[in-house]
Amino acid sequence: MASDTPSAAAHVFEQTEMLLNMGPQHPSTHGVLRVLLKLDGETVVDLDCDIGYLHRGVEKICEHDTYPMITPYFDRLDYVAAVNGDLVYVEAVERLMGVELPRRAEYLRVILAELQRIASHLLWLATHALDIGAATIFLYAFREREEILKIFENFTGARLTAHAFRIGGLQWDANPEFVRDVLAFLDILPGRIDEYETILSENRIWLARTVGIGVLTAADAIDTGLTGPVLRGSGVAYDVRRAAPYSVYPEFDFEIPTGDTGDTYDRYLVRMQELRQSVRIVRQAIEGLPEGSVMAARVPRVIKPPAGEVFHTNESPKGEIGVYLVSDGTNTPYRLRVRPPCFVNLQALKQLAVGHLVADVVALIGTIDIVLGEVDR
Amino acid sequence: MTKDDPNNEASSESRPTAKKAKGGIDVVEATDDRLVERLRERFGDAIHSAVIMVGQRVVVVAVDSLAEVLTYLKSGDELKFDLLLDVTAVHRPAETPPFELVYQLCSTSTLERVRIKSGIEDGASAQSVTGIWRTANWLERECFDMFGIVFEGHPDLRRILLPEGWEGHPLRKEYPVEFRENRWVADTLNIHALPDDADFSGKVEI
Repeated sequence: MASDTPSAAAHVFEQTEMLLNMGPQHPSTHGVLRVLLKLDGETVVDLDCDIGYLHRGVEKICEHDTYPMITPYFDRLDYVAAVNGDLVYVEAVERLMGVELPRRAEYLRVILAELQRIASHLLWLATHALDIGAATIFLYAFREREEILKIFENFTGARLTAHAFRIGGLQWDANPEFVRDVLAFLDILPGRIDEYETILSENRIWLARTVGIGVLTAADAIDTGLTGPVLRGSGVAYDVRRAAPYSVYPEFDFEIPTGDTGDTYDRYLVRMQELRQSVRIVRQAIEGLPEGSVMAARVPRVIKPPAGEVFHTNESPKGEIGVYLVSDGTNTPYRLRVRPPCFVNLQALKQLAVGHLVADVVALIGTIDIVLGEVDR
Repeated sequence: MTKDDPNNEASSESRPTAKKAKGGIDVVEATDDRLVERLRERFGDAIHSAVIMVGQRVVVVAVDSLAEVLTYLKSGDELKFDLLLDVTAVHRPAETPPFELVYQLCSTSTLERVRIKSGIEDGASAQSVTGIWRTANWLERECFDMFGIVFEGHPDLRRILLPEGWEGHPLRKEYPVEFRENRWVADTLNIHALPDDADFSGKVEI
């Protein structure tokens, strides 16, 4: 028996690489993402993302649906930021058709889109912090997000898949309660953001889990095609609302927050700043909300954009969402391509995670802020 | 878009400065565009056409020179298109060549944008641009998955959204939108197409 001991001990200390399967049913993957990790001890050596569990063939379905029928599919791409998905699609069609919107419609669109950005960032904050172990912030952020969902329910009838916009404007106008509710929410939110930052920004555990984790240089981030807060966290002030302005964004005064080092903590700071900037935009839009119609005057009953093509992009909470629309002049698109920010950003997970510990993979999936409905489409 | 394709129009000798395509989209020949001038100067006949459509620059390039043009746009040109936003394709079975590769480029410093397109034959392969932009990796994989276009020089060209072993490429026009019997679905999920004489009456023989 004693003669066996040395070889058994040698086996214990033998260094081997291990393959670890994470997901697709794993709470921190925020959906159905499967990550295959190659580990040396607890350190990630290599990883591969297996996606497509939620693939519904949206681009194919769109080729068989009329233009108004497609909008609900965009609700269900990034289902925690449905309004931003709707916006890029209806704007792409309107741009191809050359429809001019009444200013009230544009303002209401900006209000809803920025409220949705706040809701999406709050959901990101809640789940990201919960993944790392801060459970309190989850309840706080969901409390504020609930207020936005109530506003959406009042305006559109739906909390999540809002289907807020129609080609040529909006179906409904804002009622007086809408303005009142939004203003009330704007009054409470900045104080609540202060609360979140009090809990997290100087919290030792939070700092230990985020500072220096998943550092991306600006050049790397651009090369990997990252957009949105992930790119801005690396110090690139690229925001589609400024870079290729759409809707009435040029009329509003807001800043583009950026980070310096490009780690998980910087990306957290950028998103917290963006919450405050969105509050600024919504307040300006509510104060300057023009009177008038919410639907363009000459929108045909059957939507048939002229033959041609357009690539229209918006700043969604996750990054640059784009629609490449090829029309052949009929009532269905010939080809409709969605440029999905989550899909492109998820590609960076490998670069971010290699060299870090398994526990950091959870933080890194959170910091990219993916929604699998949009990754898989 | 077959007959009124502005890209075909560009080859005729008398070019109107502004032309309405079918239905009234403004398609303007990109004559005084400095980027297009530089591209024509450098690549000559490889630049098939260049138009401005809905305010967007669209340049059609010969597929053989595609990688060179894209390399130049990323690092050689003064506009520095460092951000590759999208790689995708359009399938037009009736046209030759039937596929069109589409690259959406953006510059984070000058904020200029350009769309590069290139026709490609069915079964022919395109040069991968993963060496120019790392982001092309997954985008080209998706393009391969959905259209079956092969990218030469891609480090890891396999399906991305559909499972390994799937038959066909869904975004080709001949691929039906309805369910069709598929070996992967039959083997993995045990789902089969119904027989032609399927009984929907709901009656159960006892």
